[in-house]
Amino acid sequence: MLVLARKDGESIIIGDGIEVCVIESGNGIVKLGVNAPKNVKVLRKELISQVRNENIESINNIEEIIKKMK
Amino acid sequence: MKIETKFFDEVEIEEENIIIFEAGIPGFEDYKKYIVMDINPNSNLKCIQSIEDKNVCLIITSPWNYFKDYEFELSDEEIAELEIEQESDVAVFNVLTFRESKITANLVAPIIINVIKNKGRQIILQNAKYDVRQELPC
Repeated sequence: MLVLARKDGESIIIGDGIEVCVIESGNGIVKLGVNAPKNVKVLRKELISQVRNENIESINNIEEIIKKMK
Repeated sequence: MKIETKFFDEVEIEEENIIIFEAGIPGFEDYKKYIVMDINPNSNLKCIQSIEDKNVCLIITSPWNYFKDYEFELSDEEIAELEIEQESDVAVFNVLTFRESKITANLVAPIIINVIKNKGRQIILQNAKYDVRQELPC
């Protein structure tokens, strides 16, 4: 993994059209601004695993949904 | 062709009704072929059944049955991938989960199906104001 040190207000550029800027940092939190073309999806990584886990959980107990929503 | 299903045992399906999820469904990435079936004629519920594994069967519903104001925009990439030409090509479903006697809908990750081309994808909304576990008002 490439590791870069950046200060508040500084950016990195990824490929042709993606800029990631450190807007503010401190107290263990970094606030990032992302400028990316509309076709590039920017997601919090944990959201992807949340969706995956929710799908896996959803196939359990489906009979209960049908029973409850009759 | 005949497939094994979670709810209806063996079912005869038309191959032209199979929906291809190129990327699979998150959590079930190995399975790409699904079929959408009514649970029963009087219900808002449908299921999306893998034709490769009978246990992979998710209960889905149209979000607008329960959340009238639900809205989002598809990205250009999603529109291109699913070969969507117009709004009427698209069916939208959300996955329901039962836990602790509550039913929730995943409003962050709608399943988008191009009903003309039979291509589907569960997308994840960016900056969504919605919840992975939105309780159903019922």
